[in-house]
Amino acid sequence: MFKPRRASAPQLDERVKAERLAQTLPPLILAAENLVNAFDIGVHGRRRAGTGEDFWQFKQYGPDDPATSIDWRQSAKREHIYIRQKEQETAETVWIWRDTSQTMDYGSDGTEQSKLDRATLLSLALALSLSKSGEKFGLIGQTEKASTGPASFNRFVGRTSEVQSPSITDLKFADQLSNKSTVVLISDFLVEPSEIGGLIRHFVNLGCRGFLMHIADPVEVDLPFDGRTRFLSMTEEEDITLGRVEVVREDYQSLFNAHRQELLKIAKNVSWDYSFHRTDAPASEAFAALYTALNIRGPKT
Amino acid sequence: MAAITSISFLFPWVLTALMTLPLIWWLLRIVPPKPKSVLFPAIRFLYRLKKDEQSAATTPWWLLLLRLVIAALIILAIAGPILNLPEQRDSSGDVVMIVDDSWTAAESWDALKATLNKLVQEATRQEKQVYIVTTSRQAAGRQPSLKPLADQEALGVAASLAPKSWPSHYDNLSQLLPRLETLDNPEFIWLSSGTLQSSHLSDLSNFLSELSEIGPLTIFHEESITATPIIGMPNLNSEELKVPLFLPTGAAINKGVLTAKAEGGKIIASVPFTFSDSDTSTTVDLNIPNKVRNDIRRLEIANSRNAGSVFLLDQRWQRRQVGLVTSVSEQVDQPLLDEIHYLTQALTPFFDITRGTIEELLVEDRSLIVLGDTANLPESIERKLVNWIAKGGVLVRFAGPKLANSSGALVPVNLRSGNRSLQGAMSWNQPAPLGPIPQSSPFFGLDIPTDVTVYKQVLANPSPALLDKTWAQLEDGTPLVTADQRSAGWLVLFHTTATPEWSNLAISGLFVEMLREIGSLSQISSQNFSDQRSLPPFHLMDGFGSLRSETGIAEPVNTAEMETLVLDASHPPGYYGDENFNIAINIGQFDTNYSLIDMDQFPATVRYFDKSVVIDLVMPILLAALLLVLIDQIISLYLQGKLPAFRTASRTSAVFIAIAVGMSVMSTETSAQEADLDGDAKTLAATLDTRLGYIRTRDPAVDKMSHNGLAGLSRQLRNRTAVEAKDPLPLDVERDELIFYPMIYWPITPDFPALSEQAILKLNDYFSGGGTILFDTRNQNSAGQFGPDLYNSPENIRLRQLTARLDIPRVHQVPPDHVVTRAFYLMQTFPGRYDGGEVWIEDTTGIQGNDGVASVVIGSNDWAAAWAIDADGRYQAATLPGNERQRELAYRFGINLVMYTLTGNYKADQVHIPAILERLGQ
Repeated sequence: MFKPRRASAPQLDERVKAERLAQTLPPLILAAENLVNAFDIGVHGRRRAGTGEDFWQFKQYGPDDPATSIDWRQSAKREHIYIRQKEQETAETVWIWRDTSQTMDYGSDGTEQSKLDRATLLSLALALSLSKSGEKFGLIGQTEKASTGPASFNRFVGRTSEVQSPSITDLKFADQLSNKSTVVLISDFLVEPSEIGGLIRHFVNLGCRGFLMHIADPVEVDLPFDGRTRFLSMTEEEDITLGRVEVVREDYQSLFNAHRQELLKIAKNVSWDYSFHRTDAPASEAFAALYTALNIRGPKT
Repeated sequence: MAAITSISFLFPWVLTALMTLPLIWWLLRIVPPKPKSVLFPAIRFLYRLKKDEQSAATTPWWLLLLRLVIAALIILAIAGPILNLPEQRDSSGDVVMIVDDSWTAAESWDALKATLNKLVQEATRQEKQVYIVTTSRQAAGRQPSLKPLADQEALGVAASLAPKSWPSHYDNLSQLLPRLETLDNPEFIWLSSGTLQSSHLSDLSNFLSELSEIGPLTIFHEESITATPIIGMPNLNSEELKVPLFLPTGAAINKGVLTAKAEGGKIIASVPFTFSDSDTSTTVDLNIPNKVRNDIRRLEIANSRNAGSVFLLDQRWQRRQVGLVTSVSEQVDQPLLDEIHYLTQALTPFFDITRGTIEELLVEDRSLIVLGDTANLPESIERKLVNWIAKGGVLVRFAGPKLANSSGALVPVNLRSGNRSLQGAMSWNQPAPLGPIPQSSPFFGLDIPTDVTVYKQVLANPSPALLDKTWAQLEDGTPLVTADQRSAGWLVLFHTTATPEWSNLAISGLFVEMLREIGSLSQISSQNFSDQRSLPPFHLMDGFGSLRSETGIAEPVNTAEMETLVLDASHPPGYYGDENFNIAINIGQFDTNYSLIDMDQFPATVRYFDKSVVIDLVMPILLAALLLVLIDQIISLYLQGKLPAFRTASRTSAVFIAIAVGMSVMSTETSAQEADLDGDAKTLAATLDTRLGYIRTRDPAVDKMSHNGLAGLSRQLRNRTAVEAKDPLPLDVERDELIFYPMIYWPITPDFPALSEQAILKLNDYFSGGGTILFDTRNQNSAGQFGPDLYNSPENIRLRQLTARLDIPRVHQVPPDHVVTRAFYLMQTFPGRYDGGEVWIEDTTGIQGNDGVASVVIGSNDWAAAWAIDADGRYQAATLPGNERQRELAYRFGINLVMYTLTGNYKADQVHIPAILERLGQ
């Protein structure tokens, strides 16, 4: 029996794909700006005592503290001597990874954007907000150095449109990540959870914090098909035909939820954040999750 | 349904394929339809699904059924179904169809033709050689032919056969018998009408028995043979038309209605008739007033469609025409002294009178001429008269003073000069009454009143022949009316005057009857009027009794041979001659003995005509199968999800379509909705607002123009004056109430129906109540076609006829200082669409009522067209010869007229003169 030809999306040239993406960039940038402007951007504090400017805490004077940092006013109010500690402000480095595999390039009829577009939007918005708050950002595997500022945003944008980002498996080999940076992975994570677990451990070993942004199409979540349907795979796997989809819908949904729970567990294990986002929900929801998780503060004055 | 039970199959063995339908069902079941295809990225989860709940994909049962039905239909179509197939005969060989296409077959022609078609189709399908022979009588000298026909030819001939209007003849067909014997295994079919001339029955049975010896014979005839009566030659006497009717022996029907029809098919009289039992002939009396008797062109039996039940009449049955000689100058002042008056009164009951001089009457070829008292006629005229009498004319002369003093030429007997009169040298003592009528006279049998007396008359010289020539005499034997036959014609002389001067015969009823008898004399002679004329065929009758102008192979008919004529293909019934003079030849003039044929006497199988049509069902079944396949494809596409989404688009497009349909429906509603107002609604509309009215003619174009014209005028009235005139209303002069409208526009058409009494009364009331009618003959453009003015144009003639009885006093042309020239605008000419016509207005000087406003305005300038605007406000007619200035003047005239009718004569007051003078610049 010979296999019938599948009526699936053709394999696009990398460059064509990138060009297509580039065409969608200008509105995405606008949308990203809109998103960003809706939020209060600020310089990210590091929640620890350090050499920043913001007040952090009053701490009792100890032998290893310099005498010049004693806050006499507070000390006078109290019995002991207190030091005013400032928050450690360092520019955060955020490494962003956006999955550009084949399964991302899919948007069902009920959504406005494909998953890829939504991921691109979120990454651009994030980059923009980070540049506004003066933090460093970069694309994993695509930019050598994380930097900040409008110029670096432009470069970021350029990189987004030109080059295909590395796949999940290749990410393990990205090791220019410095210590104490944050990794944001925006993807649909349609791979084995064990692979993702391995990847995350790799990053954790490098000492990074992270955020998993799980993007899914509503069709993938709900499976709203009826009757006899033939499902075509977007990667090179086999098609599958189901006689009555409505019967298996519940099973499928439970499988999908299980997948989500697994990802959540993996993230929790290494105290990373995890967020799930459907493309039919507004992008601001996902961005809000990102924003609060990364605790981005207003611009440096 | 009977149709279903008569389905038969050409190839019944194909139907065994229907047994394979279960196999097809099983095959279709296991091949499921194509599923929907969707792209799905998260397919990895589907791999992990448990698959036990998946039942085998199946085709829905109704789709399965549809496909089975398609397969069944295709199998049926291959089996060749046919509806109404006639019984098949298994023989091969030739088929000879003998078709009775005489006039007797016309009644049942449809059934005969349908049966013939079916038989020919059947024969061609079975690949038999077909011969078709018709039985109507051939032209003299022509032989019936037996020609083998190809399939298409046979069908063509069968389709084109039509019943002929002359009878059949079987004797000739016997000549075909030798040829028929040589045919290969022949089979004979005779399609018969069931009726035949009684004299030919033996020929028929001989022929058929010989046929049946050659091959099997099948006879087809109508189930119940309808034989209609044949109309024979009517007998005309002075009062009535006696029409004999003959029924074929054995016919079932015995009653009906005889109708007399005029030229266009209009029924003049219809009289029912019945045949008493076992009677095959009867006579119907048609009592028709003389006025309409001349209009009768044919006699027909109602509800029958054959040539025998039609009798065409020519002028032999028409009312007599008489020519009355009048001199050129007629003096009407003292009619009671004029003999023309008395002759006219006496001739009118029975004759159509034409007046003229002798030359004119001779030119018109009259058969009877009446000449009053004349002295000598000019020689040429006398010669012409003598020739005319010799050819068959009848001249009736009257005596009088002039004849008494003349030389006495052109009289039937020698006259003694010097008349006999009372108180004369030779005189009677008293006025002499009439004596008995001689037996040889055409007046024999008339009632002689006792009060007819003769004072004075012209005397005849006694001669041996005088007694034979006397047609009426006085009591003492003196001839009063003498007549002499000159070759074919008669010369008749009344020895007394046509006026009561010499006798009171002229005012007696006997006079009328005498003239009537003389008239019938001339009738007979006009039949021999022209000898030996050869008349070409003019209009010929077809088998159904209708007249056609194609003449085909008909030959001219010689009047001398009319008695011995035989009806055949070269002498079919119909009119022969030309427009001015034609003779009718009918079936009823010849042998009228027909009888029904007894089919049982023949050695043949007898069948009835079969009117059902053979229908080949292959194509319809295949079409149905194709349609179902299309539906199946659409359903499959739908199941695969490939049909375009209809949801939102269908709703909006459905709404659009509904709106478009609604608008188109609404736009077809008439814009002139007010024209359909009736009764109370119309009264309300007319009285609540000022409205102008227009009289509805029967011509829709004229009505539309009137409506648009008055609408345009109303609009201008609203714009320029205080008259808030609304849309005009159409009026039917017979039915609608006129008094609500201040001005009514009446466009005159030449064929406007005559006004009834009621309408005249209504119009008179309208005038006396103060209304004004504007009569517009609209024909100023054709001035010059009818003479110096439009007096003789058809519209003007009609106008005069319509207004003949209206109460209108004098009309005169609009004088330059009439109020209508200054009622609103100052104007002297009143152009409409055309210019130059005169406008006549009623002369109201001396009339007290209505403030002197004229009731009637008559013109020919077609004002409605100049005023007319359509719904968009565009002008509908161009003004000739002028430009828009002329239209403006037309509007001004209309406004002037309306203001005049509404406000009266107040502008005639001297008070306005200074202002007007100032306006005129003086």
